Amino acid sequence: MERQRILLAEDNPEMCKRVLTLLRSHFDVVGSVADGQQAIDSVFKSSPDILVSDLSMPILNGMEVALRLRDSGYCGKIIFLTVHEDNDYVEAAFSIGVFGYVLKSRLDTDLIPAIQAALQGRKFASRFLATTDLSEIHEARRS
Amino acid sequence: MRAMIPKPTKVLPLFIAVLVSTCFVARHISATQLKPIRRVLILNEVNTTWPGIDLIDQGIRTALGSSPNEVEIYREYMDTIFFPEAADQQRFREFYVRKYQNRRPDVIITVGPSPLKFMVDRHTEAFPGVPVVFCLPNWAPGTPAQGNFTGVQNYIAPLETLEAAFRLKPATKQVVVVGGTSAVDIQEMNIVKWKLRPYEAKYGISYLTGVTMPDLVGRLKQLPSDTIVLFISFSQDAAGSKFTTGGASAIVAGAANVPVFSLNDVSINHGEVGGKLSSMQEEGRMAGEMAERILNGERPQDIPRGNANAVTTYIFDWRALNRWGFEVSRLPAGSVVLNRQPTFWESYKRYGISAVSLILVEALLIFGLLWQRSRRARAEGELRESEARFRTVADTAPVLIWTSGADKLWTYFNKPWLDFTGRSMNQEIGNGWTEGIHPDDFQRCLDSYTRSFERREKFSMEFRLRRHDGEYRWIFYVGVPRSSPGNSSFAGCIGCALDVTERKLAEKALASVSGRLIQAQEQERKRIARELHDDVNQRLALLQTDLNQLRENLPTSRADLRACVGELQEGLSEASNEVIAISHRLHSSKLEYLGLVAACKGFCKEVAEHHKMPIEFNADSVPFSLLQDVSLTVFRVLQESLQNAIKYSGAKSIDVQLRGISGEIQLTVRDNGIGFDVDEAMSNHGLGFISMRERISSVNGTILIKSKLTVGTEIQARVPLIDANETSSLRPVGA
Repeated sequence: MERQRILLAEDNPEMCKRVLTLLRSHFDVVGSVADGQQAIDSVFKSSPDILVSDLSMPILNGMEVALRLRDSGYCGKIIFLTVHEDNDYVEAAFSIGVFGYVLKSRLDTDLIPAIQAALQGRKFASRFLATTDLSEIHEARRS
Repeated sequence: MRAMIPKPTKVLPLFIAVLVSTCFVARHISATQLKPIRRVLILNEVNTTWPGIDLIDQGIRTALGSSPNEVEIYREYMDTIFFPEAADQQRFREFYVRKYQNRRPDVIITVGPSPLKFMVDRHTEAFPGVPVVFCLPNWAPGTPAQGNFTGVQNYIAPLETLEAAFRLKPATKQVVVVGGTSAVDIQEMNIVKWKLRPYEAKYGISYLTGVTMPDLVGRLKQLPSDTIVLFISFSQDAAGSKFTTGGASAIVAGAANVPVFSLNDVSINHGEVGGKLSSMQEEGRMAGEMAERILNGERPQDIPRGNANAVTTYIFDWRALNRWGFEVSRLPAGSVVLNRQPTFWESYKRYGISAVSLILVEALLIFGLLWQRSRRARAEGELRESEARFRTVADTAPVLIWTSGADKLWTYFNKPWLDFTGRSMNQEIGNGWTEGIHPDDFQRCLDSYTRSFERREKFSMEFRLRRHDGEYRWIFYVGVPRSSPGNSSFAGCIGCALDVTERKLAEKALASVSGRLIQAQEQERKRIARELHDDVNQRLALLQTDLNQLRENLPTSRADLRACVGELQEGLSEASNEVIAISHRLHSSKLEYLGLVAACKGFCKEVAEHHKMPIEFNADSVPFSLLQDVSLTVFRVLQESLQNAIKYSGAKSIDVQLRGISGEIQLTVRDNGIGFDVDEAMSNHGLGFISMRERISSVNGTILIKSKLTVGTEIQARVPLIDANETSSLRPVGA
């Protein structure tokens, strides 16, 4: 079976290294970039199946990247990998077509399932420890 | 005949003179050895009583004056008028022969006919070989027998004179020729008669001679008007009275009632009209030149005889011409006019020119003065106009304007100044206005002004000046040196002043705000530091303690271990959330990532939860994409408003509305609290309000704060929308 092609956008080198290690064990990682503009350029260049993107990035943040890719007709799936544990972010992300919202604190457990869910056309959000609402969303999206 | 007898006593002084002269000459020779001595004996017809002798002598001396020889001149006089007797003349001849027997002259000049005859008679035996130069004889000696003789024959021109006289007075019908009775007179008259004989009928010539002077005078006074007189030599009248030539002609000219013409230059200047005159001096000069040539070695026979015709000139007396009404223009060509009295123009030419020049200069000066006055008037007019313009401009200018003179005293204040101080111009000029300076600023002001004034440099200062209502206002006062119109001399200063009280207060307020801002910044840093240290760090310390305990006392069962790790995870997550919260308070990441509506909604929710305060948030028609400055400004206003409402109003609920209305974003925050005094809040504790106002102002928005005690407060901020795409420097946000 052909391995899915993944692009990573992450400006923190340590986090980038960790995520790449995790992804490479399951997918074909086409590259990693450190800012929003490079992310868009690379998507246009390599057309990955999945873009795993940080929310906080230089030049263009994750939301802006998602919006521009949506507006440009990008067919792949976008998954946010972030530290922001806030339903408002999740709602905003899902509203613009993002398929996964994964907290970095739950990287090891949630990222691969989130990608797989996205590949199957389902949305995924990490369960928030601080709020009950997050678990509701988490459960809802999983169901 | 007393006068005609020579006096023997006169011979002695002559000898003495000759002796002294000889001694002098002898002594002089030793001093001038280089020049050869030449003796010239001048034998005169008459003595120097007759002016003609002197004139001839002058001519001779002139000619001999340039001689390379040391010329000794001896003068002797035959005195034929005073001593006409033959015996006397013979005695004189013998005397002179003896006298010069041992002092032989190198050349003898004879003046007049008698001396020449003496030489002709006695030369061979008395002065053998001595060359003789004759002068003034009317008849020259025969050449063959007189090989040692040369000279100038006299020339008289009665015909030419009469012709000139007829030109001057064409109506002349008669000519009366007047002459004396001496031998010389008769000789000359004979010559004239000989020359005029062909014209006697034509010119009506008659001869009046052989009369006494009184008789002559009487006749001359009654001559017909168409008559002229030709005066010849007149040395003696019929009565034997002697006259010098000039003296007689003066009498004749003075007596005659008609013009008197003459024949030599002695008979002029006494009233005679003139004529073609023989020149005695020139004849003398010609003879002198011949003598000089002889002295220089030439032989007399080699020197051609001369004729005084060459030195005869038309000479007229201007006064006589004028007296008789003769026109100068009718004189023969080359005429010399003596005693010419200048015409009025000639007399006063200098004065005339001076006067004209003076008039011209005066005219020029007057013109210059008029021009200067005109220019000055124009300049003054322009100056007045300029001043009027200046005053108009100055009086309508929104600033206080003043001028001062070179004496440091103030000379002018414009209307706004006078309105400001409420004083009159007279009260203000000089140093009057300084009475209004605040006592604390007075000395500083005057020192600054005086120093700058003396250095002629620009200056500015700030001080308090009393306004018409008595209030001291801060004035910014600036001045520059000014020049006099038309030149660069220092004329004082000009300057203006502005009421800068508002600015000063604003600066003061700003200084206060800046201070409070710094203070607020420090407080915020302190709060962040405290939160990081007291909260986050405490949590991390607890987690570290828990981990240590877990390592030392590992639970034996896997279930207990999982539970312990789960607790640690939660503690770590809480610490992480706390850091996020701190970060969020510093800067809303939602505003950046999710946009204004999401950020405001999130913030309201956060505040409501935190303070247990119901906050109703509504958003309507807010554009998706907004400029970062606009969204940040609206968000900050919301933050400030909510914090104030929570902190001070004691409200039970808060209503927040965010709307996009006709090109602007409108934020309204309304509470039902106790309200407050807006003015007091703005001036005293309004750092938050000032901050809001400044932020709104920076994006061209407005803010309206309405508050009513016990009713509540409404804050309404309106910010115009700008398309984010038009301003690339501003980063769009939105979600």
